[in-house]
Amino acid sequence: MKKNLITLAIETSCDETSVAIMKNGRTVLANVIYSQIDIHEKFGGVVPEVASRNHVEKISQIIDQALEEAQVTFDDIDMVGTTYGPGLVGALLVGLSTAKALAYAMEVPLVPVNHIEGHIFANFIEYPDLEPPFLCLVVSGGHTHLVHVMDYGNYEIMGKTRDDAAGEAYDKVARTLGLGYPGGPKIDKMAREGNPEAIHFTRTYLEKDTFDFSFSGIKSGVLNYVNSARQKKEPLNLPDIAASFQASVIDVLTTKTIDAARKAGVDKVALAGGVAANSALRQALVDKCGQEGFEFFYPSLKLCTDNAAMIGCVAYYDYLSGIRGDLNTNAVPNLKIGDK
Amino acid sequence: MLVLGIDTSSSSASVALLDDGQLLGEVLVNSTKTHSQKLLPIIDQLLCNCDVKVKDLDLIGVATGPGSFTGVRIGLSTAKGLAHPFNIPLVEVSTLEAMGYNLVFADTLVCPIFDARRDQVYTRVMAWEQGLLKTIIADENCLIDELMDQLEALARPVTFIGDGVLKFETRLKERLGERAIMAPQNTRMPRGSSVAQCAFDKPENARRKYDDVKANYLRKSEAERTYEENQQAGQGAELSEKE
Ligand SMILES: [Zn+2]
Repeated sequence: MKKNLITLAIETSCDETSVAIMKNGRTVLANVIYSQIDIHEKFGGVVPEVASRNHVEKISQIIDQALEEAQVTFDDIDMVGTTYGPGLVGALLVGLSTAKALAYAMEVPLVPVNHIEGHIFANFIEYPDLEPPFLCLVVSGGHTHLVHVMDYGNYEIMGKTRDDAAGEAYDKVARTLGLGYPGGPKIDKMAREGNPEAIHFTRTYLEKDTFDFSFSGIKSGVLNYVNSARQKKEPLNLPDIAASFQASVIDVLTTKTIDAARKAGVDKVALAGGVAANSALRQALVDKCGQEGFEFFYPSLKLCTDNAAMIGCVAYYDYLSGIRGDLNTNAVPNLKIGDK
Repeated sequence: MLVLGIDTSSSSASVALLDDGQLLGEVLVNSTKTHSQKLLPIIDQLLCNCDVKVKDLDLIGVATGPGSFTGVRIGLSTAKGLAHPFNIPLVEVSTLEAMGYNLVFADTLVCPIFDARRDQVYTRVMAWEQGLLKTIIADENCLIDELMDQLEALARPVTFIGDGVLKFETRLKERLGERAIMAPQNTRMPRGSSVAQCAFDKPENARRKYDDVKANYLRKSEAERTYEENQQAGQGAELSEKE
């Protein structure tokens, strides 16, 4: 049996066109990411049709770049991994169609991958020795999940958002404050100059014992505050609003994460998803996990954003457990964690 | 020379295999399944029946639209993915031009019409002259009324094909009278064999590398159009303020 398994992985679920070459799941030989963020900025958010058009134009070049960077050829590829959901259907279909055709032409297995599982697995790339079980907080533009990772391929969703994802709340608040798109990094940056205790926005914890989230209340709290100040013609301290909004979101996220970790009976906590790049959230979890005696893991910035390396990592473990796509594998825009 | 032709720009998916101009096989499926579910299975079915592997292909002709945006991208992504590992040359073929090959040597004008919603069509007008397909009106996205104006001015019999025939048949007949001919059903949908033949007939300099082919949408996305309209309106407002 061949010793190393080389995966070519493709990710096009939103506005990043990414291709990675992975060795045995955790070693990144190449992870090329082409971000369309500048293209979508003028629209104030990702436009699905525009994203899909750019994916199909760029994908072949990105594949070539990844192969070159990894110093491998198609002959070295043992399998193709690709995101098939969740995400924007038109965008997913570009990566999936390309991956299916590549796997078919090269006569290697196709492994369809869940994007959210990819975010969690970014931690396995960052920490080669990390093993399940652990509790993972997944926060991105479209998702807020607390996932008990019991084993590779075995997950329990302990809590999820009932309305807005944390990332959506960031985008809406950023728009109200006139900070533009994308909201996460802009608020994070401005919050560093503000006082997180200047304004108290009500935290929403929902019923006792639930690990679900709700961020629409916090978001409305900020919008109401801003509107009433504008009506009264009072000056707005944007850094203070950003810092206070962020503090309220982070309070809820960290409190629920620690509670869920305790309930799951794990001693490790991991962070994942685009919002994992948020510096204040990372720091809060570093502090809280330290105080409460949990070991804390989080991916480096490049592995937090959408990238194909994390997809290749999932593909490797799914491949080992026998998961294969076939010629009629389709995109599943609202795919849930753990569904196969 | 083995040529694979692919078309997924309408509701049907069709693929065909030509060998030096001889048709080895063709599959057309016009079902409600998505192209993502249909396309690779019919390619596999075709190649298996013809005992051909992807790496044996010398050329892939792919219909790049106009038509369904997502359909076009599934066809193009699949063609690029198949071509990439073996560096098989790709030839971009207009879906509408390829459809001219559905009615080879017709003695009328040939006019494919695809329903582009809101009374619009994707269309092209062609004519066979001495065995060659000539373009009379290049690919366009226009109102059905505009197309009928153009056809009236040409004052020649026209055979219509494409999925737009079902929707516009009555109006075409009302306006163009006996000059409007509806082609039989079996010639109305885009065909892999037409795409493959069209690709085969193109000059050598039409062959592209896998990363050098583009979709032929003929239309900007809704968001881009709205954005540009707003920009123009904004600029207009600024100008009038200065005046
Ligand atoms: Zn993501």
